[in-house]
Amino acid sequence: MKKISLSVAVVFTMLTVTKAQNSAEKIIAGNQGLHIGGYGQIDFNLPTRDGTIYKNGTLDVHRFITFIGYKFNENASFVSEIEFEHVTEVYIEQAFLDYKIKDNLSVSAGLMLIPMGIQNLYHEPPTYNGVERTNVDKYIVPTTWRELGISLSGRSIDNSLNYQFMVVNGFDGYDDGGKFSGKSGLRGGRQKGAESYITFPDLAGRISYYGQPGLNLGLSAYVGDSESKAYDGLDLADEMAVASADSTIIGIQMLGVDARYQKGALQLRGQYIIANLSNTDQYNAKSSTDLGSKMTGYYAELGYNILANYNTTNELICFARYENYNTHAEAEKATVINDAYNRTDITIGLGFKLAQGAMFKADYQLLSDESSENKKGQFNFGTAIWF
Amino acid sequence: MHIKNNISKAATILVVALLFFSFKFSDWEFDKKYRALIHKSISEIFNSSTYITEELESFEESFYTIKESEKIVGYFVVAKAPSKFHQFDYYIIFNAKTDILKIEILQYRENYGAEICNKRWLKKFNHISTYNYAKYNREIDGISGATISVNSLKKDVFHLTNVLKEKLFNDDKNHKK
Repeated sequence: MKKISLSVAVVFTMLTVTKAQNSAEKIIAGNQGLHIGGYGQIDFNLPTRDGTIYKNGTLDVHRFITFIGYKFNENASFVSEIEFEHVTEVYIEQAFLDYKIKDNLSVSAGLMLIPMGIQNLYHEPPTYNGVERTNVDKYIVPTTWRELGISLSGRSIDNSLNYQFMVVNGFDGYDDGGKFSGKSGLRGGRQKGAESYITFPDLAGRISYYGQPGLNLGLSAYVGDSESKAYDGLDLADEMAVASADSTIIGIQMLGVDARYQKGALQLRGQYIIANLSNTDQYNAKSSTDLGSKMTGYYAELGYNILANYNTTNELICFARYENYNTHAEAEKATVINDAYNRTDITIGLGFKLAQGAMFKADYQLLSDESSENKKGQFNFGTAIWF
Repeated sequence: MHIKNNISKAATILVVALLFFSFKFSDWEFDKKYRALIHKSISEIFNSSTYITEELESFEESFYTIKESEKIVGYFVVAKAPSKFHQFDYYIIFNAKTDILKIEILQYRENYGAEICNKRWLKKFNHISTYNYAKYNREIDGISGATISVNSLKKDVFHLTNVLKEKLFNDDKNHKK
């Protein structure tokens, strides 16, 4: 009963938001500053039978996001995204005030997306192939990665360059126990702007180049130490206490390169992320966990719009993607490398674009890891919406 | 002489409009910048320093004719189109047959999507057919990361080109009557 009323609530909210967009249009006509939009991802995941073992499928309103933006004047605007994940989890995905210092330079403060990889920044469902986001982005980046801080964004239109630098709070690495793990990497440490705390500020940056029409190249970097509650109230004169607190912190150096290419019916995408994590031996001993000292992830994807030469604005994209993500690419001596963390996904599927921002998707994934010859299969179906 | 007369005429009208609508002072500065950019393009494309421009009164949008020795050699329009939260300003130059000769973005305000300012990408609009939207849409590749602005520009250019064609075609029909 609860689940049904929850679904009804979601549908009602979606309808209300849609209606709100229409009434928002009336508001916008009189109030040029307000902008309301949204995106949504609804999934149906169906694992294939594992020998004689039956598996239930799962259906999920995976994400539903409302954009609320307000333009105060030509130079000042507020950008926000409110997210419902799996219907019951409410988060803020972005919330920042942006100030345009000059034509091509602006400063922002608030909750912002870390500029690492393609999908962390460009994550509206109709902009990527496949029902789910890539596992490289989920486990290595880890998406949706957003923290609080200050950012400087600029561009040189003549040189076809965009750049962004930010100072942010880092991952929550330790709060009466470690938050990182060998399997999920840094994912458990995302603070998401919810009563975040900071021990040391971290730095993130990205440069992208789009000089060649159709091609977009990106280079991202993230450097810093994870945060730790063990540092709160720490007496810096107490050497033993400091040493103990230091063992709850890891150093992170992450580098990402990504490329997107689009020409006619053809779409190509690739990404490579590498993360070096230092002090993981002390961290693992303190937290009784198995965090790796190096994580890598990469994917290559090819897509083709079958309807490209037909007289229609609809698109039918068939795609194939190969991904590898390994949260145990390397580990310190005391941590045994777990081959199960070296994972490979192969995805083939279709996306049917009904209109700009509206798609039906279907794909099949073959999931495997180095610990076993067995491969798991899964069918995914979904809707992708963006308005 | 003609250019100066027209610019000072337009300037006077603009000052009155400014006083009436109380635009910010900075808009007036941008207007000068836009004129300089458009002037440079027209001079290069038509290989002329003696052309004159006249606003086409019957349009809602800012269309102008480009005349050389009393003969219309082309048209241009200055327009705004929406990006995600802001708007971007741009212009289109047409020849006398209303084929697109050049599009340039005058000011792009949004943090994302500035890729549409890329001159090589904008060249794809030159001499494009705006008869059928599906075909027109296919001839211009999308840009990953600039979806909203790409589609906004495509729609606006298609619309403005057809507005111009239709008006001139109707004028022509009426004139022939």
